[in-house]
Amino acid sequence: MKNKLLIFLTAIAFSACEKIVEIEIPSEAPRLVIESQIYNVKDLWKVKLSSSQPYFDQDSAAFISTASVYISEIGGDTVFLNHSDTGLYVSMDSHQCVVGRSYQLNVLYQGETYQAIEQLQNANPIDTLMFFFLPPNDRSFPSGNYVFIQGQPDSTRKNFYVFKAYKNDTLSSTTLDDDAFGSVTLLNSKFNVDDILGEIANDKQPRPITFDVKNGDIIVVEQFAVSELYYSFLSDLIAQQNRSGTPFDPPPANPNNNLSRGALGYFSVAHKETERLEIIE
Amino acid sequence: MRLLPIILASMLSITLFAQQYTISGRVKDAANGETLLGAAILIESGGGAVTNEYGFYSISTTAGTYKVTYKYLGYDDVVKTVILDRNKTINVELGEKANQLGTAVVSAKALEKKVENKKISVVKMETSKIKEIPVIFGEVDILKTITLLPGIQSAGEGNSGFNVRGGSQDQNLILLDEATVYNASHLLGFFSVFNGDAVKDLEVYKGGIPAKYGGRLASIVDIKMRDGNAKKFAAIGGIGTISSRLTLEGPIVKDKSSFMVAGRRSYADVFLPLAPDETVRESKLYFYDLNLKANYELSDKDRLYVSGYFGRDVLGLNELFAINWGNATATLRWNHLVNEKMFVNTSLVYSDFNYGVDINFAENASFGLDQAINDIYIKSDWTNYVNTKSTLNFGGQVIYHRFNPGLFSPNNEASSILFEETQIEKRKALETGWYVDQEYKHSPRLNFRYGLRVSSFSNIGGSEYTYTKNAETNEPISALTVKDSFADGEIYNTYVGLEPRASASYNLTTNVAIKASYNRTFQYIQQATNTASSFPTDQWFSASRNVKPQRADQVAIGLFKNFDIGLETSAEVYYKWMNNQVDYRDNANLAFNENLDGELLTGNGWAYGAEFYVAKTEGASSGFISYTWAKTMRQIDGISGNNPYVAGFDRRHNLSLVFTQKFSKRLLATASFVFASGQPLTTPVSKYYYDDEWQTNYNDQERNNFRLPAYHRADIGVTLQSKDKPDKRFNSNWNFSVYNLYNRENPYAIYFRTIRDTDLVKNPDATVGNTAAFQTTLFKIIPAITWNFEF
Repeated sequence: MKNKLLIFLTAIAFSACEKIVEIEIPSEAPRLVIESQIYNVKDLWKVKLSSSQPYFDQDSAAFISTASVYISEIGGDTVFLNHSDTGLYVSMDSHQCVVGRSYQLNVLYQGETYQAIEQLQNANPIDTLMFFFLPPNDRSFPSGNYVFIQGQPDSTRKNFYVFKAYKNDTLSSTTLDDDAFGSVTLLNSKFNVDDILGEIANDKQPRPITFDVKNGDIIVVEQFAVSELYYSFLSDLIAQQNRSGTPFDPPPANPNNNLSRGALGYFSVAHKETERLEIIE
Repeated sequence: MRLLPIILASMLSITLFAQQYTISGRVKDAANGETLLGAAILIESGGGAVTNEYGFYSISTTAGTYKVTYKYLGYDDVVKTVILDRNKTINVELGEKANQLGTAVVSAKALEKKVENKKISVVKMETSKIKEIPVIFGEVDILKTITLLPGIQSAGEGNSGFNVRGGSQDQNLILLDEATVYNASHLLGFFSVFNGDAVKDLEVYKGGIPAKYGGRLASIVDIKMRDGNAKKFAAIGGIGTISSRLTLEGPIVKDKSSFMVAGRRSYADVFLPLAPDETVRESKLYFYDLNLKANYELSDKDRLYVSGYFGRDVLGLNELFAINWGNATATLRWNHLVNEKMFVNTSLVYSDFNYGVDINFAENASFGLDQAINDIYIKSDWTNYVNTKSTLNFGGQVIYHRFNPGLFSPNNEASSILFEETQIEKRKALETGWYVDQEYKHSPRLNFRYGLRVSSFSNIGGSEYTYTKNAETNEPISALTVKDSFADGEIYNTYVGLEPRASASYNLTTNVAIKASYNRTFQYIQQATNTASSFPTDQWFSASRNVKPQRADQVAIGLFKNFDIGLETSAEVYYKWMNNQVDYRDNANLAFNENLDGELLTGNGWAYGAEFYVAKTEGASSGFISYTWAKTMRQIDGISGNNPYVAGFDRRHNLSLVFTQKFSKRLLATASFVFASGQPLTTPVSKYYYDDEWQTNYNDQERNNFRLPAYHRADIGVTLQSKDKPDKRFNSNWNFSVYNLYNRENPYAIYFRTIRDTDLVKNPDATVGNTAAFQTTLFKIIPAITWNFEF
């Protein structure tokens, strides 16, 4: 939270004298790009393949349809995926991952085999998905409807979570949380949901997942328990995306991923929990 | 064979009977009592000396009658006949030449004009010369101006930092009256913190660093404040586009003691409300600084100096964000003459740099971040003027460092709900340096200077992390990070460095000299940064079990030649090896990271280059040309695919031209041009579509794979003196200058990202979601007027 504020504010200072320029920069041969996430819940397994392209290219993404793709459970079955359209490879049937098991992605493309392996993390279900109305208050926290979740993190290890909140089927926020900072801890687990306003009065502020919802909205929250590597991949990716020429920018570099042979992207195995909530005031 | 005892006996008799005596004293400016450093004292029969930084000299020679000449360029010589039959103290005041064209032509001191007295890899600049060279907004800036000299490269526009011979900015030790100045930037680097009116002299050691100095790898910038007028009360000042300044000085006790107070305050913020951009309109942006100095002569043998600096910058955006930072230094010095041959200066020094950031995002999201570095030290420097051939220097210093890496605190009760107060552990360390060094004149042609410095650094008390890093990403693994705690005051880690220094000079003729130097330097506290600019928020790291001290070895060789037509020229080449250079790992997490030292990687660096300089210092037309070719590389495992890469501040070609024309007693014009190769940067080599967005693919095998377009700029300045009124003390001049005369849009930074909705305001033709390169430019053409006065 505080890091983002610093970055945001320094960016304001610099944006005043910014313009788009045309320059010629070095380029490299196209690389394979892999995007895939499979879950503990039964679903079709999907892998998206494309090719990287020159930075200033104005074309849409170059999808790849000529690869062979399969995913093996280590010590288990192998599932083949077939190309359906625009670089998307889909399994014939639905599959589900098992906590503690590892999964290996294999992509054969232009004579090369690209691989990635990842283990499914454990996660507890979401206990509560709820909204509350915060009336106008003396703390100038915007008044309105807040949605938040509550659950229990796995106390045996460090937890890494990604939350996606959809408002009426539209993605409204993506939140990363590894419990690095805050007084209510991960998943609001130390927050009494039966007395929200009392807790706020007691100086405990819940961590909302989304804000500004109104009567009749359908809110869907997906909770993904992910690997530490995927978590840092995603946070580094976001930091690189938000470059603004300030001292808080990380050195320009690619986030580390779990793919072999220099392929870009990530093959993620995530523990997914979904909750749905209709806002009725 | 029978001859030998006779020779021995005669040698003995010379030593026995030729009694040695010493002439010593101080050399001052007759007009204001300011001590003159670098004044030459020549004995007709041969031999001589140069005054030290306190104007003191000492010459020991055999008894006899001598004609002694005191010289200082731009001043009338004083000749004294000395009957040397006992030790003598002779204090001399030199008067400025009456028919001078003004200070314009004074640019090098008497003896330094001779090739034999030029030190290898040392550059000097007089403040009088610096004041003529146009700079941005007409503000005199000693640090910006020295970057015109060979081997000293500007770190870029809007940055008072500089890079010396392939060293990073934090590898320069900037001393103001012996006190370390940790951040020499005003307004985020647009100006340096040094007020030209308060500065007497500036010396930069790029190599051949005497053993007396230590603590930084690349250079020593030794800045001395003026003592203040000991004869009469005087004032100098000016009103400029950005700031105004006033210096008051005068005797406390005439000819015995004096003071100086110099202040500056910028007022650019006054004009901010006129800006079209609302964010700019509601911003704060100003600095002020104050220099103080006083000295008192306790006796013929003792003199006390007190000097101090205090400066502050404030930058605020709307009411959202404010940052303020500044340095404070204080120096108490005691000059003491043990005897005619032994001069001692002992100093007690305090230095502090701190910054605070305040963020007021909402009533319940208001917090501050504070960092500081604070030093107290004591040092003592002894000089023994043994004889005309030999001078011995020795001494030592002990520095107590305290670091506050960061205190994060909510500013009000409402914010304390969301944000916890977090103090990153403060650190303490003890740094020492001990040296002995001899200047030895073997013959009129051959001179040596050699010495040894022994330095040490100890971490005291507190705790330290030991990181286990992910083999692939070099990211510290939090679960495997071990914290060791030590008792308060316990020294748990010590480094010792042996730093040999040597230089030699050989005069081929009176106009040609060849010189060489070698030095080893250690650095125990350092800064890591990921931008080319010197932000006050860049953190200082002390050496620790995680961060090993940096070490450098440098050799340099130079040829110096003067031409009778008034040209001075020099050429130097150097090579430097550097160990334990730091850089951030890829994807380092830099914002308020408690374990920031875990994000560092270390490796080697090397740098080499050639520097050329041609100057004409006298006459109505003067100026200089300086050209540097330089290369500086780093190789750090884990960065750039372990491949060597060009350092982020490498600029291959650097050219500066400065030309000054004196049209009349009243009118002077200066034009300058600078060219520097573009700054290296890491560009994307392609993009890829992931998570429904374009992502950037950088070349992981080559950091800094590209260069920004070259930097170049021309400036002009004209100074018009008021008419001479012989009956009046009041003098003034107008200075008009134009910065970036041909309005070049030099890039300050270029970065790559997708186009957002908010970019459409300035780039209406852009397509949201596409990828683009964004450039920021700081300064286009800027005219400025300054009015200066003195009385």
